[in-house]
Amino acid sequence: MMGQIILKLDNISFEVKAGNFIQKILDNVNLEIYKSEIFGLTGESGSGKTTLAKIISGIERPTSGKKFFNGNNFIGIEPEHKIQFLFQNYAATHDPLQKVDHAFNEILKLKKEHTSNWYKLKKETLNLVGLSDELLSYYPSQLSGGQLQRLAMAKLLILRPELLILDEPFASQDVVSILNLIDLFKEINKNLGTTFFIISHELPYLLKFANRIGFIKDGQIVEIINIKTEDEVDRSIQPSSDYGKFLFQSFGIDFNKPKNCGS
Amino acid sequence: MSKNNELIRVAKLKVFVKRKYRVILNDITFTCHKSEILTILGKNGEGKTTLALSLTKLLNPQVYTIEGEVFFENENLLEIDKIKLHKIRKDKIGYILQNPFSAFNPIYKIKDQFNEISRLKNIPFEKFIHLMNDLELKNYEQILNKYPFELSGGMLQRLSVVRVLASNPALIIADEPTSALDKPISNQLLEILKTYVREQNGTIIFITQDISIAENISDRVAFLSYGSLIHFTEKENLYNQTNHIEVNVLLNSFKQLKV
Repeated sequence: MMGQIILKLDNISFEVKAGNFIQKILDNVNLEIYKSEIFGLTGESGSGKTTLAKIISGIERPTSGKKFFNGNNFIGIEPEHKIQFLFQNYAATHDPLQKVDHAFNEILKLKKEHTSNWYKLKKETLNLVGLSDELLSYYPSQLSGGQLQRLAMAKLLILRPELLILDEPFASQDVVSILNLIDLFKEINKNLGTTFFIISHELPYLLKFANRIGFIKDGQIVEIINIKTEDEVDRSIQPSSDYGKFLFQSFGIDFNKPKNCGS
Repeated sequence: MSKNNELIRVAKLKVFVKRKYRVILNDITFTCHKSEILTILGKNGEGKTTLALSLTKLLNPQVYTIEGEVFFENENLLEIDKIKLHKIRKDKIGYILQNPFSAFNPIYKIKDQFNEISRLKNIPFEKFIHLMNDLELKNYEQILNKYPFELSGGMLQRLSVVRVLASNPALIIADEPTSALDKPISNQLLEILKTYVREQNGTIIFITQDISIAENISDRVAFLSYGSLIHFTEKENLYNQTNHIEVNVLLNSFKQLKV
């Protein structure tokens, strides 16, 4: 699916200086993200995954290079809140002293929407992530971990972003929740046409639902693989780079063998 | 297996929050034999970490009450006096804690913490360096000179494995030791733990929520659900359907996620 380009990174580099010592975190990254696709980024710890996400969202500024969103060059944070970022530590995004309703109101002030539509928008968004609007009168401490993660996502989705960045959404989740999350991502992607940029260590989960997967190593994107089929895992893909092969191997993924789950 | 081969025997272990009488663990009974890896598998919030901590009474006694029996080398850890318990904790049992950031003393450099251990337990310091090399912490001079907060979660997790393996305890209780590691290094760590079991006759109680890791490392697997161990299985039969709906849900979700 090579549609319209929503985000383009042009020779992005990022360096950290400590005295005379300069460490390159990102090294001339070029990347194009297409509208309504699910893009997965994987690589080892310290390879620059989160830094790249921070640069896209505008939290960090690159040392050099340009970024384009919908064809417009922009620096820093995208002014129309069309790029949203769900942090790994999503529980910390909830204010323990505010009811859920109040937190939504704060966000909706950013969006130039008439107050009479607010309740409808809140209800719609909560239903979208599989929560009921009863939650509006609750405090975050009354909700479970899974509900908090969905709520954190609802808070971003109420702004109807075009690009949603998720940092390690599967970390410390059990398999049942992961399965639910994957379904949720697919549904949001289908219903709202939101573009997803998902960072994860877990290559097998990305293979389940991403349209394209990028491998990052030492601050460079070494390979991007396309996944053709939907729903079923595409068993024809083969990474061509050494690092991609290494990752497939360390997860024990071998598409030449028949699928095998124990005895 | 014969009875004298057993290392730790837990019987009717019950843990509850004192003031609310909220039961967290109920009627936990299991035996772990010498040179065996027993994995405890469960979803989030089922009480896995509480179980790990309650085995040597590490839970806050003002909040939790622990009842039942934990026999380690024929002594009930829940009843022996404090000095004896401290000695067993120091010499015989090693913990790899889930949160690597709170597992080290924040105000001492890693070097000083390892030095203290090597002095107290008579371990040559080279052993730490050797283990660090095995776990891909190659620039050990730099790492040893740092404070815990200067290191990443993955590095601290590996360092706490180094710390435990260096003292060569009879039992290691490992609470999600690979949660902050990427797959290649996680595989390496599991290999090192297996070598410890094979060559030093060690024993591991391994806690995880990842079924593929359980398949990789364990001899036996126990499923924890709502505070009880509901199902035991040998590794070979891990994927067989059971009579327990919770276990089946977990296994089916895993199969669906597997590529």
